[in-house]
Order: sequence, then C-alpha cells, then structure tokens
Amino acid sequence: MPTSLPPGTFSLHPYAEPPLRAGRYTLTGDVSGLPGPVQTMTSRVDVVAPRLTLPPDQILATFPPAGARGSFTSRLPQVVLRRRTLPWERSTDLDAPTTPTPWLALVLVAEGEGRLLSDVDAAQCVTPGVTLTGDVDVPKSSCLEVPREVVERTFPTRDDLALLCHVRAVDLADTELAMGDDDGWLAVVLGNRLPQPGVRYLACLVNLEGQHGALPSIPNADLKLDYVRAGAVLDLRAEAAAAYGPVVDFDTATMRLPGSARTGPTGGARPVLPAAGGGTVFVQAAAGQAARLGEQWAVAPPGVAASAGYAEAAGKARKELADGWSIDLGVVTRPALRFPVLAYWSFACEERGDFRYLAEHVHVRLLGHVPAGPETPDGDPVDPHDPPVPGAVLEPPPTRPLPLVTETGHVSLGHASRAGEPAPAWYRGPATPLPVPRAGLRPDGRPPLAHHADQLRRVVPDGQEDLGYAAAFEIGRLLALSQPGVVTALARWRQEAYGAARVQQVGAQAVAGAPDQVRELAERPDVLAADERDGRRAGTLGPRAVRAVAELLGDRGAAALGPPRPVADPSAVAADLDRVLPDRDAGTVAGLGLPDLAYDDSAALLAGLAPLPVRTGDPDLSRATVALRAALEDKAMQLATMAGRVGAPGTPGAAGPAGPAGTARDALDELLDRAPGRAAGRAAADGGEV
Amino acid sequence: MIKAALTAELFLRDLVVNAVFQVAQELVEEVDVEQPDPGPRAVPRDLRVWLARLRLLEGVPFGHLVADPALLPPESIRFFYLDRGWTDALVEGALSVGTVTTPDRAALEGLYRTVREEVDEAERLVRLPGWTPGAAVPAGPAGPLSGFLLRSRLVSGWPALHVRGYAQDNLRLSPPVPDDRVGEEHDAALGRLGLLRLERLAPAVLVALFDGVPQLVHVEEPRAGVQFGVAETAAGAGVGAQVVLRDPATGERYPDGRSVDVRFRKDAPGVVHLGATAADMLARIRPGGPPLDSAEFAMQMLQFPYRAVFGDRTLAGGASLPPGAVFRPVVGLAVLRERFEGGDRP
Repeated sequence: MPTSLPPGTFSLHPYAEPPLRAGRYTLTGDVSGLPGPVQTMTSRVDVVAPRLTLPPDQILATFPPAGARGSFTSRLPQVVLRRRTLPWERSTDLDAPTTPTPWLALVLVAEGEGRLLSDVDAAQCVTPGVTLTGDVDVPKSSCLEVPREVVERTFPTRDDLALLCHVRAVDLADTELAMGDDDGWLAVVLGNRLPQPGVRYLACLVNLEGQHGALPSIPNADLKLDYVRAGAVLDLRAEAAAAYGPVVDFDTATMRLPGSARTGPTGGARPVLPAAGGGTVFVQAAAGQAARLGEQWAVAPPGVAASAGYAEAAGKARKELADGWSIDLGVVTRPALRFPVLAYWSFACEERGDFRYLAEHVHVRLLGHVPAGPETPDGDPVDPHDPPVPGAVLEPPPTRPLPLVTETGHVSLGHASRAGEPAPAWYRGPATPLPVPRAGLRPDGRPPLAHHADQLRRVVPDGQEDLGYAAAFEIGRLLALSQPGVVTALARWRQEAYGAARVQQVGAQAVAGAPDQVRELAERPDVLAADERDGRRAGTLGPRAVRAVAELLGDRGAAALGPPRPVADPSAVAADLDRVLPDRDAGTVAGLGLPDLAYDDSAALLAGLAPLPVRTGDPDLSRATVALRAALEDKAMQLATMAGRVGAPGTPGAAGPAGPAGTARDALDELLDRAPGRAAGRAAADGGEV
Repeated sequence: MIKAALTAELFLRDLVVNAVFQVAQELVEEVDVEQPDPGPRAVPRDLRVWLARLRLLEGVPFGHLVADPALLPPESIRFFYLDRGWTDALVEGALSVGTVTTPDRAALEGLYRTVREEVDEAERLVRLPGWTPGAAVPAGPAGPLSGFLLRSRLVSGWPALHVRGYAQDNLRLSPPVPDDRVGEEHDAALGRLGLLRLERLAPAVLVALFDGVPQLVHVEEPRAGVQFGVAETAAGAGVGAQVVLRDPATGERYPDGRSVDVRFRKDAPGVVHLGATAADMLARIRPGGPPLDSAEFAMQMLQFPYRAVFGDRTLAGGASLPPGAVFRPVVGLAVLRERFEGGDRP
C-alpha cells in the first residue's frame, strides 16, 4: 500500500519492474551438516502471467466506458489494470539499463478496419510466421486481424510504447480513485489515437510479443499539427462491396429465401454484406475474457481461406455479419497481421464538442433576448473578419417573424378574446429579465387575494391586455384540479375552516374545565376586536380568560384570594412554635448544649457553630438500665396477658383472673399475679385492647 | 377565604394544564420527524409542500416559461429573475379550488397572509439533498429568487452536471481565490446559495432556481475518474489540439500558461505521434534535460473535469461588456411610452 500520500492525491511512476519473469523455475534444496547423505530436493514453480487472456477481475476501469456514446474526441482511451507489473512482465529487455519496452498496447480499430476472431488456437493467434515461445496460458483465445496498412498508420511506434504505460499509486481510502484495487498500485495503458466523431470503435488490448518489428516507425517529416476529420483509415466494407457488386437484400439472403441470391462472377450465392454504415447492437460490456463468443462478433470460421470459395463464406453468413469487424479479410486479399487480444470493448464517438468546448461557446444572455443575427457567446460585438465558429449548431433560419419583446420582458402574443376577435396581447411569464417587486399589503394589512382569473387581467394603456397573471391563476387552478389528492386535501382543510376550527376546539376544551361563571364570562367576545366574529377567535382566548377572572374577583380581590405565599415559607407550624417556645432561639441553643453562644446575631451564630467539635454526652448507665428493664417487663407482661387470655381451647376468649374455669392455678398464674401492671392487664383483657 | 383562593388557583392551573395538554397533542399529531418541517403551521404540511412546488414552477407547461422558441435557441443559457407575483397567482389559483362559498373566501382572505408566508418558508423544504431526520431545517423570510435555463448538448451529454451559485464572487475576496480552486471550504465565505430546483425539462434543457440572486455560477463536468487527453483547437479547415503544460515538480500548470501543439501523423486522422509531442514538451519544460518518461508524459496529458464559471469577467481582466449586450429588447421603453401616450396606432 503506498504510504505518505496526502488525501485526494495520487502519484505517477514510469514503470514497475516485475521481480520474477513468467516461466518455469526449478527449485533445488540441499542440506549439509547432517550425519549421512541427504537427497537433493527439486521442486518446480510455475510463474504464470496472462499472455493470451486476461482474467476478468484484472481490469478495473476503461475509458471510454464500454458501450458508451459520447463526445470523446479530445480524450485518449485508457484501460486500468490491477497488476502494476503486467505491461512489463513479458518484456524482452527487462535487463537493459533503460526503461523496458511494454509488450501490451491499446489500439483503437474503427469499424471496417479489421476483424476480431474468437476461439482461435493459440498458435494461430499470431501472424503466420511468428511463433510464441514458451508456455501459453490458454489453448484458445481471441485475435485481431488487421491489414498491414492499418498497422502502419495507426499502431503506436516502438518508442511510443514506453510512453503509453505507466503506474499510478493511490490511497486505498479514496474509493473513487482506487476503483476496488487491493494494494493501491495500478497500471494504466493509454491509446495513441483520438476517436473521431460519428465512428464506432473497438478498443483492443493486444499482445505484441514477437511482433515489435511490425510496428511502424514514422519519420518526423510525416508529422502535422492538424488533421481533417475523417472516419476510419480504410474501410474494408467498401472494398468488399466493390468486389461483390451491389448489396443483396439483407433479410431475404439471411433467410435464404428462393430468389434471394443473384448470380455473380463466382456463380454462387453472394456473400451477405450490410449496407455501408449499417450498425447493430454493441457488445454489452468490456470483456476481460478475450475468449468470449458474443452473438455480435465475428462468427465466420477462422479457417476459411481465400481459395475455399466465396460461396461457402456466403452460405455460412449469418445476421451477425452486419457488424463492422467481421469482414473476411481473405476476401480483399491484403497482407494481414494477427495479434492476440487480451481484452476488448467497443464504443461510439459522437459529434465533436467536449464539455469544455461546449461550455466556452454557450451564449450567455438574460431571458427575453432575441438573437437577430450572428453573435458571440459573451455579447461582444461580432468581428466580421472572424472565421465562423465551428461546432455549435447554428439555429435554422426562423420561418416566422421574431417575437416582439419589450424592455420589461413582455412578449406580444396573438390572443382571441371571448367575443372571438383576434387581437394581440402582452404576456410575461414567471421568468423576467428585471426584478419585479412583489405585491405589497393592502391598508388593512392583508395581501391581495384573487378568487377568479379575470380579477388578474390588466389593461395596458395602449388598449391591449396583459394576461400573464391571469394565465398563471388558471394554470394553478388546473394543476390543483388535475390531482385528486390535492383536491381532497383542500376540501379537508376547508372543512376544518382552514385550521381555525382546530384552534377553536383547543380553546373550548381549555375553558371547559373552568367553573361556570368563569366560562360564561370567558366566552363573551373580545370587546377590543373589530367585530363579533373576530372577537370570538381562538387567539383572543387568553385575554378573555384573564378578563373574566379579573372581573369575577372585582374589587374584592384581596378577599377572594388569600395572601400570597412568601417565597421561603417556614411552614404553618412555625407560628404555633412561637407560642409554645417563647424563647425559641435560646431554647435551641441550650438544647444543643452550647449555652455560651450568642444567638441574636445569625452570622455570629453560624461562625460560632462551625469550629465546635461534636459533643457526645456520657451515658448514665444505671438510669438507662432501670428504664430499659421497666420497659421490657411491661412488654413481657402484656404478652403473657395475651397468652393467658387466648390460652385454653374451648373457652371463647374471655379469661378471668382464675384462668379457665375449673383448672388449678399453676406457676404461670402466680407469676401473672405478681406482675406489677396486672390491673392494667386485666383492664386490657376486659377491654379487648392490648 | 381559603376556599376561594384554592378555587382560583385550581382553575388557573386546570386551564393551563388542559390547554398545554391539548396543544401538545396537536403537536404530536402534526409534526412528522421523518420529513423536514419547521414546525406546526396553519396549512397542513403536504399541502404546503405541494404549493411550494407550484411556486417553483413544477408542472407549469414549458410554453408558459418561454413564450417563443426564439427566446431559448440551442447552445444558449438564459438567466432570469423569478416574478413572485406570477407564482403567487399560481398559488391563488390552486387555493381557489378549495373555496366554494363566500364565507370560505372571506375566511381565506383573512388567512392568506399566513398562508403566503408559510409557503414561502416551505419553498426551501422541497429539495433538501442529504437531509437526515432530526437535522436542522432552513428557515427565515423568503427573498428574491432567480435562476437560469440552459439549452445545450452539455445537458444531454452530461446529465449529472454540478450547478452551484454563490452570492459573492471569489475574485472579490481578499485574498482572491482563483476560479479552479474554489471548493466546499469556501461555501461560507462566498455565501453559497441554496439550489431550490435543478431539473431537466427535456433531454437538452435544464432549469435551475437559486434562493437569491447569484454573483457567480459554476457549471461543472461530472467526475468520471482520471482522464488523459488534449484540448482541441480549430485550425483552419481542420482540427488541432494542444496540451497546457504542468510543472513536473509541483503538478500545477505553469503560471505563464505555456502549451505545446500536438503532433499528428499524416494520413491518419487523430493518431498522435507521441515521440515528437514528447520532444516538444521537453523543449518547453527542461530544454536539454533527460527525455520525458511515461509518468511525466501522463502528468502532462491529465485532464481534470472542466468548470464553467459565469461571473463578472472584468474581475479576471476581461473587457467590460457593451451596454445592451445581455438583453436587447425589441421594443424599448421609449417606444412604449410614446405608444401609451397616444402616439401612433397600437
């Protein structure tokens, strides 16, 4: 993971050297120092790298996107690969001191410039006469067959290759730049050809191993600074059509209906060729698997040689031949080169004008401006010697007179009045070239509200009408009526008296809990309001309630309401305490055991209290013991009384001093007799109270 | 005495408690935290937002915005102020559907001021990208609105355009910020305006409405990864291209704006000769130095998304526009005045 990258940045590197070249390696292991001989270990390691096919997850992004239509005339095509060493893994000059030459190139092939073959044996993926040494990763792959002329004109030169591949390091946290990579290092392969408008292209990542010699070398004299827009470098379809004559009806020939084939010089059926410029559906996605067999791509069997007869080729022709990259090159007898294709995708380039060009040439004005002749984008005066600006589509000449626009932004439109007479009228939409102030408030503080469109028609001093606002009213009304949901919402809102009913309900419920007198008084209308209806509004509930209460209390305010409570209330008992303890403070202080403290000044009292230690009294044990014993004896006697009372079964509760009738007195009874509170206990037993 | 005191106190407390309870209940019913709402209002929220959409001209036929095709020709952008009287008329028309009898109309007249203010406030709720429940809702009185109509291949080719409006020009700040450096951190300093509406009315027509009158508008190409390319130029009958160079040490463009013309191969339209172009670049960057490697070449060819800036060009050193450049009416005020004062025939 590349470290020390500031956020939002990426760094570029010229190349990444593969640490190990692809191939088969033998590892030999030897151990020494052990007692006894040890057999040498040999194991084999195969370092595999893509050669004829790229696994689909190795491509992170392509530009232009697969299947895209757009204005790509100023952008170089590119493909972003996951492995940073891939463009240099099979370079032959890795050991040289200079930058190694990549073995991959991204080439753009326009429609009609070549042919893409799928499912071809590995040995036939390259030009006949070239052999790929070493192992290949797959037995069958795709290959691109192009005439030598196309290679000479459009392929990158050997020196160009080194400039087209570089390595980018991104921060993995930036998901947009990282595009799903796992270590933050990406390899980018650029193309060298700018797409031209109106042409469909096939972008192929080709393997140039063993064929670097076929690449062109362009002397500097052949360079120019500009070019005239054209499509493909050459179009084989036109040449094939020239070889075959007029094109047969496509559909009937495909379906091999009787009478579809015309006899030609070969005596057999003509091959089916599309009309020049016919296009079909694109390949759906950028293919990492070069061995993909799509319906749209070439299905002509690769083994058809020129001598096999064009009849056979025609016979095998299918609907897919309408595609521009499937012309049998044997047909037009040119020397062709083959390159294995690791990945391919197609796109279409449209009319020129990238974002920058269009944005620089858009005409900027206020709404209401009508162009009356040639103009410049910003409004500068037009220089008659300037060349006409290419690219921006010129407006077709108007077939009717230009509109009359006033300085206020009003446009004169034809209008048929209610009587049926046509007359011009002024109209201004919501979009004006000048700021328009909003309608203010009327003298009574309310904004004007129209209930009908006719209320918004204005008459201009020259006799014509100004219908802008009336049209707006009608549009609003129609839009509301066209949506049943809005109509329902408005009806419901109206039922609630536009919210007023809800508020009134709140007010009514608030007053409902009040005493009757208060409620009656509160429901009277507000005397300060303009009219009775206004006076009953829920908003005036507050003042009305207060007024009701104040009226009820009247002059007897103090009598009706008690004195206000003080903020800090010593509670009602405090008054009684004063009666009980005449000298309250002195008593408190004495009770705390601090007779010498000054208690008339509270501050001094507090100051005196603070440093005093807590005093504990000595317990007088003898007195405490006596008191405790007395209490215990009392309790014991009570319990015994209860026990004696409940005691014998069969007797309903009452216990006499002699216990249950008929039984002899025992020790418990003696004890009970001797108890000091016996009289009280007896009384308790009689009274039923303990 | 005490009984009277207690009764009065109880009554007041009862009154207050009941009222508060009722209001709280109403509040709980009305405020839906899932949708942005500044609070309980007289107009129900759904109706308010629908009326606010109407104010932003949603659903209004295009012919009512642009009365004549000549007012919006291809490859043009037209800025405008929004007439609040017109949009108020729209809302009044919609409200007239809900009034049937004269008392209804009288009640609505009494309430219309509140309705107008609440719909003003709701205009900002229609488009709140990135609002999460519980987040703050924009509030405040409504000011003037403005916007633009853009008819161009920019809209059809790049549907996800970024549009931003600012109340303040970045070249008026001290220190001034260059156009390509303005980012989100300058939103507060430049007073970024809310975008109330951004919609494609047709494949090539874009309408945008700003919450205010902008001094500066950005229209930016949507990002699509890192791209490499050239800047095309017109060269006689053909097409040329040039590359504005960057300093390899810093990655920024040179302040003097030096550039090279791209070399193409003869008989091969659009095929760039990289070696010669790289040699030209080397001559402008470090004459006599080691040749450019692929990383440096890629850095020169980098193209970032383009940002079109609409602002006062005199701040950037351009000439001021001649009067009447942006709006030249066909019938001027003088002619109108003459006409109204009973001059010639209408």
